Amino acid sequence: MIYSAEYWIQQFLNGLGLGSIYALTAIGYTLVYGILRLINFAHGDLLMISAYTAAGLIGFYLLPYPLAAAAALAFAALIGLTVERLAYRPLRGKPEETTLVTSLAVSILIQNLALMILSPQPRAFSLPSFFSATIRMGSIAFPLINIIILLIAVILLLALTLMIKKTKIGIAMRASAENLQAALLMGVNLNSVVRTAFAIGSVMAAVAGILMAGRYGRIDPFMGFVPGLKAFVAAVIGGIGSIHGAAVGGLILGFGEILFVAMLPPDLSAFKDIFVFLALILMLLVKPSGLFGRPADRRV
Amino acid sequence: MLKVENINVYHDQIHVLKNVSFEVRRGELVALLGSNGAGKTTTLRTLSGLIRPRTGTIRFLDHELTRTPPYKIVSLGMAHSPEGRQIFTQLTVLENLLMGAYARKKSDRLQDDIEWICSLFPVLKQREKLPAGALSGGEQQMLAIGRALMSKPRLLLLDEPSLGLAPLMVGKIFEVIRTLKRDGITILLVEQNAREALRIADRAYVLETGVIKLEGKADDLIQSPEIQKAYLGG
Amino acid sequence: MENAPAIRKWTDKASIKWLLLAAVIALLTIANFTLSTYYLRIINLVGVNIILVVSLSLTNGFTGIFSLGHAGFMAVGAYTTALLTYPVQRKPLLFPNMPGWLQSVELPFAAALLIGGLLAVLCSLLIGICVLKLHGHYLAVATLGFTVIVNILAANLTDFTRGNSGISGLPQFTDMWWVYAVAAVTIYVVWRLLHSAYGRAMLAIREDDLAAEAMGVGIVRHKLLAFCTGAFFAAIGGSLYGHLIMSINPNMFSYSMAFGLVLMLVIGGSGSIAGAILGAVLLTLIPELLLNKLERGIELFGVRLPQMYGLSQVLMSLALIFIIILKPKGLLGK
Repeated sequence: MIYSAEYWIQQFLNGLGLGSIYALTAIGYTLVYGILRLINFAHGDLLMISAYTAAGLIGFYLLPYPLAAAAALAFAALIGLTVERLAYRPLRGKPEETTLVTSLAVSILIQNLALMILSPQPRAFSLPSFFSATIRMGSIAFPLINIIILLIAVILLLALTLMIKKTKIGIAMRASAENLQAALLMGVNLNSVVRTAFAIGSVMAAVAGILMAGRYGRIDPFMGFVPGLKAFVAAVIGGIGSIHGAAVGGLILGFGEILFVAMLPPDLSAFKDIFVFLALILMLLVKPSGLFGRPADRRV
Repeated sequence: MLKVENINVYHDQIHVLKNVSFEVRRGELVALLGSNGAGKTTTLRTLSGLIRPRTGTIRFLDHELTRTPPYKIVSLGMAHSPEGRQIFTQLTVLENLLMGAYARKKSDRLQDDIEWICSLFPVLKQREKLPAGALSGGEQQMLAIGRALMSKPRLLLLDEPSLGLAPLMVGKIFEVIRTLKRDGITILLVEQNAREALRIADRAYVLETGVIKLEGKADDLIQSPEIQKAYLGG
Repeated sequence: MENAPAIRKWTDKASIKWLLLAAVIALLTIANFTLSTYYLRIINLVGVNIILVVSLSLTNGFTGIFSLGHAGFMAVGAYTTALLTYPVQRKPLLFPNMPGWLQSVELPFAAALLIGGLLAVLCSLLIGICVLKLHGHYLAVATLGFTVIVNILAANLTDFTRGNSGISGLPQFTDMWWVYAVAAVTIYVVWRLLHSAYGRAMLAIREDDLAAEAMGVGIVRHKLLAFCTGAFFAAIGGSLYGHLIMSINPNMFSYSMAFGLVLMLVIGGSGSIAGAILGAVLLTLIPELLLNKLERGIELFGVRLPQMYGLSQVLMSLALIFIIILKPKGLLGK
């Protein structure tokens, strides 16, 4: 099973691309969980919402690509904030299981609403042509798309890190994630912080959704669920509550998945998703707080 | 400045504070004493809006606090240095102080206030860039008080500032509190260390299993035989 | 003489219960002989869901283990019985690559059911030992992971499962007697467990497992008991389901099914057996009799409504969200 250097470089880039998509989505989970200790199962479906919005706007020639993408991001943020306001805010303070069931319900609601409104058939989706360009270095040719995805992810991650470190609301988010009650005593308005977390997370997921759609070339109403779950696994592996953890977790998962498929015979590649969940269970057993997380404080 | 009337606070079904009433006048240092579990911390948390009383009123500077969200209460001028210090260990010392100023509208003069806090607690200036988790217990307590002061509060709530500190540190902390009082800051001090607290307070209340058992001038209470026996080991 | 009124109350109560039971049996018998296959199928479906939701209430409702693995155990049971009861003559046709010993096996339904159940217990023991020490969301996601893994295995071990096409043409063993007998057994077992020392321990664990542990309750042991018992009945429920609709495929046992069961439990009321039964009944009848028709597009007052696949799930999720916010303990919750 000796492949050429070109093959391995392509797989490496593949891993980066996929990993970046998972990382961007994972950040949304971790931001919200850090503050509210809530897993938003509906987060993954934002991937689908943003992809369809962009596809619709572009497909009907309503907007040029950049504006369509921006509109998709804005719409995803709107949905994310609406879900927070209607489904999660009334349940603040309630036990974990309640919010868990609710977030599952919201996810299924969104998926089936999409099913009702749109067709269950997958649709084609393509990004502007320069995304699919290939560049040649010597005898090796590789598609540009994964590099672009990585660049976008890195830029967004840097922007987020800057925001978290320097801005007032960013520091408030860090403080709230560590000790919510103390943050409240500082005069932090919980609703503002939560909304910011949801908005940022939703936009990140929306970007990931468009990139994912472009990478695979198609969209369908259920496209968000499994990647969403995997992104959640990435967030847990990286340490839920840690932004860098989410990024690292996403990359690890992306690489792992690509390597798994690349190194095993083709008929075993369908089992790649099993490896993801086994990794999750393993991490939860060994170090539940993940790679970069702090040991969880049990609310006694 | 602060008038609490007949508040009843419950934790699940347990009646934790029973018809508690007290007041704090401008410029005073009022001590709230009592043993573990008496409800002192619950009282402060209720004042800050983290817990809601089932009945009763809390008036602070003409505002009724019982239905006010915590962040609003802070912006009205009530700062709270909580039990166990609860500083943000993942943030730097400086960031902790900045968080203290979160509720302030104008960010001008922020640097002046940081300077002032550092003059009270020189140690904080040295450790400015360190994560707050690296500080010792006493230093963390100073940070907690400094953080609360950053909001330029009208009323400062201090929850057991001397808890778990070495005797030398305890002395320092009470020195600082005395200084703050001299500077005119109104303080409500919750303490298990009754001796020190009564030494610096104007008035005091004694809370026992959710009920105010005694109240009066600090000087009088220090002399009272009940206090001597129960809290001063006399 | 003082005890006479008390004893009379007791017998009155007991006799009401027996009367109710007799009435149900009578109704079912009549239904069996009078109703069409379509309605009979629905009644059987209700019974299967009762088995599934009541067994789910043991783990999720009473012991506080938020498990999304029930669908996975259903799959284990369904595929096991399907493979063990499939007529030997047709097996080689459908499963050309299946190992010989399996190809030549054809067991009676009861035996296959039990084997499926025991296999599920084995799985749940292994999984449980690994994940039951987790809490809240982590436990939920880990069990969801189990369901997804079972899904993937079912979709890809094509030699045994025929992958995504599934196995069709299953002999129809399921009838009303099977379903409701098992349902009765499930209810009885769960009821007895709850009213025993084990049951009290499980409730204590649900309330606060640190405190329970401090009082000497073996946490893992009791959680395992609840988890494995739930898995056993889930598998049997899955088998009955498979042989009711006579075909199985991986999609039937996905997270959607897992969620659907949780939905029934939460809406009905997760703190009581009656709540579980109510949830199962309501949320089988309403979709089957009403929503699925709407989905396929019906004529309402002369207006042809369009097909709206997904409507039933949309409405049920909405109902769940409403109930959680307004009446968090469910319809019959305490």
